[in-house]
Amino acid sequence: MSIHVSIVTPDQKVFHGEADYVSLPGSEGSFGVLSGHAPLLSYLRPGFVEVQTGDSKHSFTVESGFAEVRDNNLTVIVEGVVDASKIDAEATRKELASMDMSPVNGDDKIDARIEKQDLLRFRLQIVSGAHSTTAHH
Amino acid sequence: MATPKEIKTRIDSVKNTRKITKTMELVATAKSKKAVDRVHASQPYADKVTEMLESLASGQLDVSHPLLRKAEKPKKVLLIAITANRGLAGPYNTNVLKALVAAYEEYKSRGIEPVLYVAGKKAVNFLRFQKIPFERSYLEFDDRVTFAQAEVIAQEAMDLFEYGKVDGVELIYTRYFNAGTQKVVNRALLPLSFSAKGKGPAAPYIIEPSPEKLISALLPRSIKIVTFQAFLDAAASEQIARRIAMKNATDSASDMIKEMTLKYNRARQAKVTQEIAEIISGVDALK
Repeated sequence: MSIHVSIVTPDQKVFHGEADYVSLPGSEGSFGVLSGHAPLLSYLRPGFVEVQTGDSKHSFTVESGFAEVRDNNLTVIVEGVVDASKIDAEATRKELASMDMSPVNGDDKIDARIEKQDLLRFRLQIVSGAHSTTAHH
Repeated sequence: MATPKEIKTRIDSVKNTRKITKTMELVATAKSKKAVDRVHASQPYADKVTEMLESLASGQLDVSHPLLRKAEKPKKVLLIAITANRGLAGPYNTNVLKALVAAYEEYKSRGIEPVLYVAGKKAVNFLRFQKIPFERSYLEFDDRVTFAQAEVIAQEAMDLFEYGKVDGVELIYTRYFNAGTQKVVNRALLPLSFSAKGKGPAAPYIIEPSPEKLISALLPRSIKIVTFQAFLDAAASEQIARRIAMKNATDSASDMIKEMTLKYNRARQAKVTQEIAEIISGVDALK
């Protein structure tokens, strides 16, 4: 039994196909999806999506987004797939350091800021090579 | 009547023009294919964001979010118009600018102050000439807008809206419907409205972390993808408009060449006939 998986960004379809098992970086912790999973909507942190089919395993480093499981279809929508070779470590570090930390009103603003910080930290982590062995994309 | 030599020069010049328009047509054809591919590639993401939003909202009766705020008496509205950096695209730029001026005048007459953000050199030149003030211009996109670039504009529009600096945001651009139809549209970007008509799954969703959090994370993404798609549509429509304009130019150049070749042949024949007549009458005179 397999589950149909598609990973899309605003630019392209990154992955499209059948898989036995997919692990996802959920906002409340990583989780796995197998065939026949109950309907689910989850927010995704920046992290790794691993798609396992038979013996082969694809790994994608994604920015934050959403995952939806419905009728044995898993759709992952993310704003971008991180390409480690294209990250400018110095610029990212500067951006992180110069982030506006003045108080703001409203949970949404705070959430957006935390999200942005997470993304920048994640990019730095990727560049520093901590996960380069698992990241094929 | 023009001499054959004059006509010949003219034919050569039109032939050169035709070479240029033909090349531009081919370039536009290739570019339009790529641009249309990008429009299609963005569709699955856009559809999914809308679908998730709708099915989440159908379970929630009162969704409130700053991006959904509807001002009772709007005072200011942001108009974002998308034109091209280059001309020679038939009525493509003029149509967008006409719609922009119409919207601008209409808001003014209703006592709402329009603020303009424009993309493309053509809009900038036009507005300067018309002495219509604009707040911001984007010239660096050309026809390959990245999501990150569109995201910056969308974010700016959302910030203005959330802080109450504007009460509405409207996009004016050429929408790509299909290969045969592209039309200028005024699309309200903010306040965001969506119908809560999602069918929803057979069983209720497991939602993480919470429906409210998901909706407030989805809303800005929806604005961003709509903005991105507006730019993609505009780029595709621009290339298609240019292809058509250049095809027409090439065709009329061909017609001109045909006509002038006929004229040239007639003038040449007339000259030959005249010379023969002169020679014959010369021979006659010698007899």
